[in-house]
Amino acid sequence: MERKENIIELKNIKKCYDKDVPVIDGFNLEVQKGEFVTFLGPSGCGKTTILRMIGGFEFPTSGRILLSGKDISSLPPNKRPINTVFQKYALFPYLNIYDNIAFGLKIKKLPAKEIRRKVRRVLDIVDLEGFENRKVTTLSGGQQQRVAIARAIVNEPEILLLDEPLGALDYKMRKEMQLELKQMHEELGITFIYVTHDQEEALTMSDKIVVIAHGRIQHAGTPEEIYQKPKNPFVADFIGESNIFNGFMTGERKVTFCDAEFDCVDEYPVGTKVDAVIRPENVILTDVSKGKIRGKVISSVFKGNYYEVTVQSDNYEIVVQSSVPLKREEETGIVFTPSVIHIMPYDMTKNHYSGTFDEEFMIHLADGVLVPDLSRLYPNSVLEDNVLYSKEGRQIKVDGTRIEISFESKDAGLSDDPEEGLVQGKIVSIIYKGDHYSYTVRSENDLDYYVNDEWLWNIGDYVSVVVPEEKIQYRLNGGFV
Amino acid sequence: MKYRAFTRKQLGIPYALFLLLFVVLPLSVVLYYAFTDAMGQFTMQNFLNFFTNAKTVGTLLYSILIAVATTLACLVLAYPTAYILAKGVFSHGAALMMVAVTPMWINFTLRVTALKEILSVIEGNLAYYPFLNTVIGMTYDFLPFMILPLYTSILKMDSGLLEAAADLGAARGEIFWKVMLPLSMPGIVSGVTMVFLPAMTNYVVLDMMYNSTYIMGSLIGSYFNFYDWNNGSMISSILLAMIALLSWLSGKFGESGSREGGASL
Repeated sequence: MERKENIIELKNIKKCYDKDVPVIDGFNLEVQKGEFVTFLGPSGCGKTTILRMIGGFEFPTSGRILLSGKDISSLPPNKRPINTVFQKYALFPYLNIYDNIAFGLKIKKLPAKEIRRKVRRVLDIVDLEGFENRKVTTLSGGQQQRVAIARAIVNEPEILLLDEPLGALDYKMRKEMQLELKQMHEELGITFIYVTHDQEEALTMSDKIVVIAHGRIQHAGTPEEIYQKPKNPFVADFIGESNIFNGFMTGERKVTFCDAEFDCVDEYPVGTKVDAVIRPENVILTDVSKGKIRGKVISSVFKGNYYEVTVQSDNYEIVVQSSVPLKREEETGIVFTPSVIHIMPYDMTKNHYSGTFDEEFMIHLADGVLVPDLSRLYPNSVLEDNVLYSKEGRQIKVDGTRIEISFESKDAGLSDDPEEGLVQGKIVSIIYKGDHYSYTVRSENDLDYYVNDEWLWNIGDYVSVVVPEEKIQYRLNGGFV
Repeated sequence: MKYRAFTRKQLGIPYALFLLLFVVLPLSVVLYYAFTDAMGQFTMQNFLNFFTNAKTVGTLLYSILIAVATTLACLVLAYPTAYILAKGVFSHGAALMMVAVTPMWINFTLRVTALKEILSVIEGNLAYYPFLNTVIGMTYDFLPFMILPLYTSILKMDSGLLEAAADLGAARGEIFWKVMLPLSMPGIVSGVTMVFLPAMTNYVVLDMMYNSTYIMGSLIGSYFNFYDWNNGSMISSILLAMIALLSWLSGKFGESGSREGGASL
């Protein structure tokens, strides 16, 4: 597709409702003129907040929103050439259909004749000719949705925002409206920004999908890219069914997972820890003797145009789409061709774990105990006789509180003194990174720790992972400390 | 123990009796006196008396004037108050609502007496501004009846519609006139009904404010004081008919409003 000018640019947007807890952080996005962009993510991921900031109903705590190069971050909604189709339609109940659609035009004080012409035109576009004098309440959900769309596009906005507009419609109606919206987008040439949590809807309609989770962009790309080459396991899991396996690169374009080595097309250094993604429709079932992996069928469910078959091979479950039903307990072979294995390098620069506070103010992790600096977690608190008091003198009870900890691999180190470190484990992988080695240490509880160390250790060495307390980040109630 | 279920009809008997004794019977008596003369003969003379007497018609107009002024004053004061209460501009909306409504718990004459004292300090002599003082007194008295329905309808207002209006280009003023006001119409209608009708007849406030001009209530009272039950009853009946007409009109208006998503009390 030819490169067009950016109609909207989001620059380093951050939004906090509570003083320090960001719901959106470091959000950068460019939308080109005429694109159909979809914000996709689970509920609560911040996608609607972004949309509302573009519409002017919320203002970013920091960062800028540029419309055709001009900063509109602090403009109110009525000063922006942007219109919204609201999730609950938000039609004016005391006005008839004609007056609802004409609302924006009347505010702009257009001549009555022109208003009538424009309203007629959009009514024609949304297939509601002759509904001018009907009351909003006499319309079905689908018809109300069309009126809401008509009311927005009649103003000829530069950008149309759609906030889960089809959420309230039944399945069939939704399918129809998806195609109609797509067609409308092509005919009108307006930039559409669409919010949904329905991945199928996003794949059907969009030129570009922005997958959002925890207030950050996980992956932005065309539907094909997002589906075939997801950037991380979250995206792979959220977009469609997928089999995701932990593995390591074990040779040039060779990857090992499910206790077998496969050829693949992605190239990463030997030893890199990876996630391998295979879509169920790409898994080939074959004779037991021809399969690279063998397993037993544990379930086979009819899904309309295919059977969803789950195969158990040792500790791994593989979901397969099969055109024929398989019997339970049936032995089968499985083949992955190189092109269907998508490799995602694991983010080995950060470590995330969760733990629980005990009454002695220590954090119990799966593999050990951590003594936190309480003054960082609870600023200005005082510990007296084993009771923690807040700045205001109230008692803070932490026993049983869940807490997330994280640290960067570059801040950790290895030691052969088991007493020195936070946890102990065996080195399972080494990658040479030029000036240091990147190690994966696996603990007895099968948790992996990623550590950068400049000294060379060997695979199988029993080491302890040392992390200075001040480098550990804590996360309580969703906020970082 | 044997449980005996009452039918709906049976449950309605006490209420029907009450209505018969305290509504239908007195009204029939009033209507009887309105259309008879002192000898008990049927006559339309009482009806004609009312509309041919410049004094009584003048009283009707004066009553309407006071009621309109009071209602407008209440509306103008109550709308922003109800808005602030409903939209939680202050953190303790419910407590503030109590503050707005508690005056209703204090005896009405006591309240007006207190107001009278304040006004006489400000104005020197209450007799200088009888009309103004009456309107102030009534506004003070009836304000909670206007705040309550407005509060309810603003509370129920879908803020999405206000956002939609802003999205379609409406500035703050336009949002108020084109969206908020129509949406709070049911509340306005019930508030107006609850203030306008009592304001036309409540002559106690007039008396206490030393306003010697008659309104409908005082007019009726004066006829009964002189044992002219026939003319007094006729004026009562005329007022009744007017009130009925007004309630019917506003009821129709309010009903169509509330069905469209607003609120009424």
